[in-house]
Formats: sequence, C-alpha cells, structure tokens
Amino acid sequence: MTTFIHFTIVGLAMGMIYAIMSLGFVLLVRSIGILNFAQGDLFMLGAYISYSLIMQLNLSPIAYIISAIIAFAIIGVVFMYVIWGPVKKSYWPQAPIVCTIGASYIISEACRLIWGNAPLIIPSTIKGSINIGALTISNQYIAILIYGVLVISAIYLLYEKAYLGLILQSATQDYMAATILGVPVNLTIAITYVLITLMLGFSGYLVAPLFFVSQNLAGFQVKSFAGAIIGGFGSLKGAILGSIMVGLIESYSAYFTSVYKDAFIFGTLLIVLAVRPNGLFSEKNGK
Amino acid sequence: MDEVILSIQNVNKSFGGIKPTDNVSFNVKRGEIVGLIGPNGAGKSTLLNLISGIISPDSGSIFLNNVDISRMPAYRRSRMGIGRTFQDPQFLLRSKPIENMLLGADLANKNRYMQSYLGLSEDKFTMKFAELLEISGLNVDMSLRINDLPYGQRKILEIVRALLGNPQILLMDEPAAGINIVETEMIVKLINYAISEQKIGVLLVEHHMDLVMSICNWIEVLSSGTIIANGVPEDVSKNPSVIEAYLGRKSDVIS
Amino acid sequence: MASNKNREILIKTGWTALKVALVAVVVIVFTSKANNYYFTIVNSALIYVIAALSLSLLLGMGGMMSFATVTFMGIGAYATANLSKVLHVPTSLSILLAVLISALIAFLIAILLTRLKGSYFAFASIGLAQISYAIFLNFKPLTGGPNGFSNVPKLIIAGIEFDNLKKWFYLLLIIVFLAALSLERIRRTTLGRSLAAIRDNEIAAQSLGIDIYSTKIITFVIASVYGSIAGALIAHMNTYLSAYLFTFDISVSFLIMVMLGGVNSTTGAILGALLVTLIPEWFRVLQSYMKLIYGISIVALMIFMPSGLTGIIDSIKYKVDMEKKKKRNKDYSNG
Repeated sequence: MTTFIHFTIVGLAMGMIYAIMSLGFVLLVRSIGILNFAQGDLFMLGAYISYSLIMQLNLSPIAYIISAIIAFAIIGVVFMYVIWGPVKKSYWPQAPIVCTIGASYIISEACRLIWGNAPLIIPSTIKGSINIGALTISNQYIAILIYGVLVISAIYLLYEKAYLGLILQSATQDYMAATILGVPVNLTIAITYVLITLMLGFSGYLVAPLFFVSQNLAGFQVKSFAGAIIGGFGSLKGAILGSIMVGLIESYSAYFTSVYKDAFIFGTLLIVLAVRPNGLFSEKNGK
Repeated sequence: MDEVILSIQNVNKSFGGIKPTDNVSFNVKRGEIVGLIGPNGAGKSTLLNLISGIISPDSGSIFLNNVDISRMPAYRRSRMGIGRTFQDPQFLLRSKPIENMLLGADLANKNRYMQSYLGLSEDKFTMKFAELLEISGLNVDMSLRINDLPYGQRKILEIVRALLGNPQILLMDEPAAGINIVETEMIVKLINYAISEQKIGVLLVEHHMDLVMSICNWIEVLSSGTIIANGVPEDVSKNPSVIEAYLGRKSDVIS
Repeated sequence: MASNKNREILIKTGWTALKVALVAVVVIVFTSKANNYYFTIVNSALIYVIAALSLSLLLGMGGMMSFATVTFMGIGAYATANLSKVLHVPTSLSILLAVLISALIAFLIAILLTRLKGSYFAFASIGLAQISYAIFLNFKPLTGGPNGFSNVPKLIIAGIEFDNLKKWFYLLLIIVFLAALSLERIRRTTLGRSLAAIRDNEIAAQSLGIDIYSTKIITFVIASVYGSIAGALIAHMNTYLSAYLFTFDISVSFLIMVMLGGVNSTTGAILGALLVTLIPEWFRVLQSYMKLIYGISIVALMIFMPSGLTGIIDSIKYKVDMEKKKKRNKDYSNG
C-alpha cells in the first residue's frame, strides 16, 4: 500500500511537471498557432540558469527568484522575436515549427558548450524527506506538487475564466480582428511567451535536484506532448489531465519495468488515438 | 429531358439560434437551369453547402438521380456527379492552370490512382479543355500561376474545371459576381454548352438579376431560410412577396 | 505548331543528356580516385536520399510533416536482418518481405494517425519515432538490444555478392535513380495531384472527389516503402544494426534535407540529402560546433529560404519569365 502511495505521489508530481509543459505547449498553439519543439530545452535552460544563479553566484533565495524571473522573461522575449517573429507570416505552415526545432538545437548546444557535458547538482528546495511507513520520499516532490497546483490553477483560471485570458488568446482566433479591436497583439503574444518561459524555467529548477541538471532534461518534452495528445489537444483541461495521467502511468510502470516505461506511455498514446482521436478529456468526441 | 437530377426534400439545418434552412424542397431537372435567389443572408450558400456535402442536414433528404446522398461525405457526392463552383474560386494558387484543370479531369476518371500511375491518356483531356476554352472564348496565359491570373479568369476557369469532371449537376455560387460583361458572356456560353452538350442541370445562385432572368428556366426564391416563392422568371419578378423580401432589407439589384 | 513542339522535345532531351553526362563524369572521376572512406560517406548519403524522398512524398507533395521515417527504416532493417540471418531467407527475398511487413504496419498505423490534423499528426509521428526507438534499443530478441544486431548476411542479387563498398556504390546509384524516377512519376499522376490538392486546398480537394483520408493512408504506406527500402539497404551494407541509426535526431536531419533542397522537388530532396550528409564531412574541423551550426542554419533556412534551393531557383525562373512577358507586352503596345 505504501508503495502505491509512493508511486502515486511521484507520478502526480511528475505529472504536474508534464502538465505545466503541455500547458505551455497548448497555450502557444492556441495563442499563436505554433508548435514549440523547444519546450523541453527551455525547461532545461531554466535548470542550468538556476544552477548558475544558485551554485555559482550563490544568490539568496529572494535574489535568486528575482533574477530568475528577469532572466526567464528576457529569454521568452528573445525567443519570440528571434525564433517566431521572422517566420510568423511565412507561406510554409511548417516554417515556424521547424524554426523551433532549430531553436531546440541551438539552446541545447549552447547549454552544452557553456556548462559542459557533466551532470550538475542543485540542492533541494525543501531539504530532507518524508517517511511514509517503510518508504521515504524526497520533499522535493512535495515542493513540485505545491508549485504544480499553484501554477496550473493560476494559468487555468487566467486563460479559461478570466477576460484577460480571452484577450491573450485572441491573436490566434482572429489576428486581424484582434488588431482592429485594439488588442495590443504583440504585447499579448509576448506575455504568453514570458509566462511560458517563467513556468518552464522554474519547473526546470524544481526538477533539477531529482534528476541532475543535464541534457536529459530536454527529454521531458516528449512525454508532455504525449500527455497533451492523450488528454486532448483542444483544451487546457485535457492537456493537464492527460499529462497527469502520463505521469502516473510512467510512475506505476516503473514498478514493473524500468526499460520499457516509454513504450508504455506511447503505447497508451496509440490506443487513445485509435479509440478517441480527440483525446480522452476533450469536449468534442466523435468526428 | 424531364428527368429529375437533384431533389431536395424537407431539408432543415440550424446553427445554434440561427436556422438558415427551414423545410426547403425543390427539384432540378436535366437540361434545366434553376435560379436560387434571395436577399443576403437568406441561406443560399448554406443550401449549396448542404447539397455538395460540406455540411450535413439536420433532417430531410437530398437525392441525386434518385440516390439518397444526404449522409454521404462531400468527396463521394462529387464523384457521383455534383459539380461546384465557389463564390471565391478555390484553386491551388501556387500551381499553374493545367495542374488545376487536370484535377477536374481526374474526377471524371473512375479508376483513379493505379490506372493513372500506369499511364493515363491525357489526350482526351487536352482536347476537352481546349474545346471548353474555345467555346467560352477565354484566353488564358497557361504559364502563369493561378494567383497571378485576374479574378475574372479564375472564375471562368473554375467553371471549366468543374465541367471537365463530367458532373450531373453544376452548383454555381454567384459566378457573375465581381466580373465584367464580357466575362459574364463567357460564363453564359459555358452554361449553355453544359446544358445542351453535356446534358446536365444547373443550380445557379446569383444576385445579378439580369443574368438570372435571362437564362433560368425556373426560379426558387429563398428568404430567411424558407422558399417564399417559385416559378418561371416572369412570374417571380412580379411576385409581391418577392419584391418585398428584397426591398424590405438592404437590397442588391432588381431588374 | 508542330515544329515548336519538336523543338521543345529536342531542347528537353538535350538538357537531360547533358545532366546525365555530367553525373557520369562525376561518377567516373569519383570511383577512380576514391577509397573506402569516401565510399562509406557517399553510400550513406545515397541511402539517405531514399529516406529524404520518402519525406518529400509525405511533406512536399502531401503537406504531412512526419518524423516517423526512421521507424519504417528500422522496421525494414530489422525485418530483413532477422529474416536473412535467423530464418536463412535469401537476401533479395528478405528485403521484399521486410518492405511488405513495413507497409502492413504502416497501413495499420496510418489508419490511426491520418485522422489527426496536421500538427497533431506531426506529434503523433514523434511519439511513433520514440516508441520505435525504445523498442529497437531494448527488445533483445529481434534487435539485439543495446548491443545491436551483427552479422547481417551480405546482399546477393542474381548471384552477385555485394561485399565491398564500391559495388554498393553502383547498386545504390541505380536504386536511387529508380526511386527518384518513380517519385517523379507519382507527381504526374492523379495521386500526385490529389496530394497537392490536399496540401493546398482541402475544400477544392473535396469538391473534386478526393477522398482525403484514404489518399493520406495510401501516401503514408508508399512513403514507408521508400523508408523501409532505405533501412533494409543499411542492414545489408553495414551488416550491423544499431538503434542509434534510427533516432528522432535522424528524422530531424531528413526534415532539414528536404527543406534545404526544396520540399516539393525530387531534385531538391536529392540535393538536400547530399548536402546535409556531405557538408559535415568537409567541415570536420568544426565537429564540436556542428550541432550548434545545424540549429542556426535551420532557423536561418526557415527565415530566408523556406522554399529551399530549388524553390528559390524556381521563383527566379518564374519572375524572369514574367519580366520577359511584361517587356514583350510593352513592346507590342508601344510598337
């Protein structure tokens, strides 16, 4: 039983991280209409930057948070102007997507060249661990859970319920109409990008103590994609629930096999695609 | 020549609070040009979309040559003989005319991919295409991409493409909109050719009343989703409720 | 009228003959001076051309971005490897069977995947590439697991054993030529045109009787055939298979190849594949920066040259033609 709780907590925590990533993903699709292949790399970059701020510059917690916010925000804006800006009006619909692939390579190689190949260590946010019966679970998972719940609810409420959220998405719905209606489109897009890099950056920081700061962090992206597709791309709710499901599946299957975890997840993906192509939690099911 | 090609029976369609199609019924016979007129927002384009299969009716039936096509997907209806032109011509814009026209010819060929790979004779197509161009009198620079061609030429080419597909019935959505008199004449020649030589029926949605009154054998008048009148052109043009429907709103052109 | 057509045919034949002669000269010069190392590189490049053609069909002609080319390469590779080594099936037959197996799997997968809209299809294909990689890397019985699959029997066709890279070079030239030819043929058929319609204007496609769903499935299967052939050739040429040959990164490189060369052009796919494979070799010095340069090139490519090299050449030709016409019209109205 305690094993089950252990794996459930781990699964939920990881699911939250995947959910944040897929949220960022779906938000970009719904606000700007592009698929961002560089999600995982932005996540990884967040971890590396946090490493530098905390371990190399020895900043205090408050100083770290402030500098990290500034750093991530700058990255978000740069990303928007360099990677998306020049190609948003391209004749080829694939162009922005391929650009993000290029960005993914650039970011991961830049990290490798700057910080080297060896995995780096960041201490946990909340040191120590909790004991549940016979099993020990690192407090970091709790930190992740708290962060996850806060961020996910905040984003969900903002985009689904708040008027501001509607404005932020207006650019994809109808770019021209939004402009005519006086929506500062570039600003809304910039806000979306910045929110995303912030979310991802801090997620990277939170996950780093558990997984080391390394190139592997970029691999989280694929599972969050799977989560978004399984849950249903059209809605934030779908992306969130689907990703949490993926986190749980991954965690539970680790109990049986460490090697085929990925195959389990993608096997689920294929089954879901076969049975419910719009995703499990999507509003529109059927054709 | 009195054979019914297209039969719409009690077709209804709603979108949320709007009902663009309210219990609509009429027929189109082979060799007949039926005009579908009505003020803006009457539901004419919706009706064409229902017939060609882009949307499905909530209730009612659509028959093509006595076959119930109401639930068939759009592509199957096209293969069964529903030809369509659009208010805004739908082309592969960055391709040249010939590629677009060949698509029309592809529709007329039954054994599609395999036979084409093994060598489809394109001579029949070239002759037919040249014939249609000559009948209309259209001169097209075939080396230009579609999006470099003037609007009027695109509208005419779309009709040619539809005719290359050997349709049973041609649904036309405002073919004369936005073109000049000479081009309108070309379209009339094509329509007449299609009626007499290809023996099809035509359902013509138009606002150009001159055109409608001169070439249509029969007119259906649609307003707010229902047929408010129908008959031969002379009668319809004098029908008070028709006049009111047009004058009662921001109207277009009345002859 | 007739003499114009004859002139056209003559000019066309002349150009083709020139191109063939050029290629022949390059080939002869190359084979006389080349050593094994060169052949390894060029042979890989040629096999990758076949894979690029697969993507050119899906993406260039059909507008479907797929990262699953490596999946079918892998299936083709491991299938022929197992059939020929374990079941002792003669290699020419095992390749054929491998392609059929791959096509069948592609068909089943296509039924699921093609229902998805463009971008979601792309993602599902990524998922597919990840699953297949996980399986190739870990499933010992069929793939040898992390240690790879060794001692794949050498290819024997009509009694000729392909045991050195030079023979493979000639064989690959022929295969690539046939593959390119068949792709060009498809482009000029109903299928090719239907794909163009699906890619450019779905409304037009539907009103022209094109069954979008079925056409996409057929195309996906055909693309898998090209992919599995490439994989099978790798298996018999290297006689050793490793999952690292079939990673997502490799799929990305195929995408770069077709976008660089020109996504909707067979020549473009060939050009792109050759360039992307050979350029890193010429710039070995920058090895450690390769990926970074790669990334920057991709972004620059999309910003400045999204239609690829052949796309730019076509645009230039088209514009020149239009200028010539304008000038001619001006002369007529002035004259």
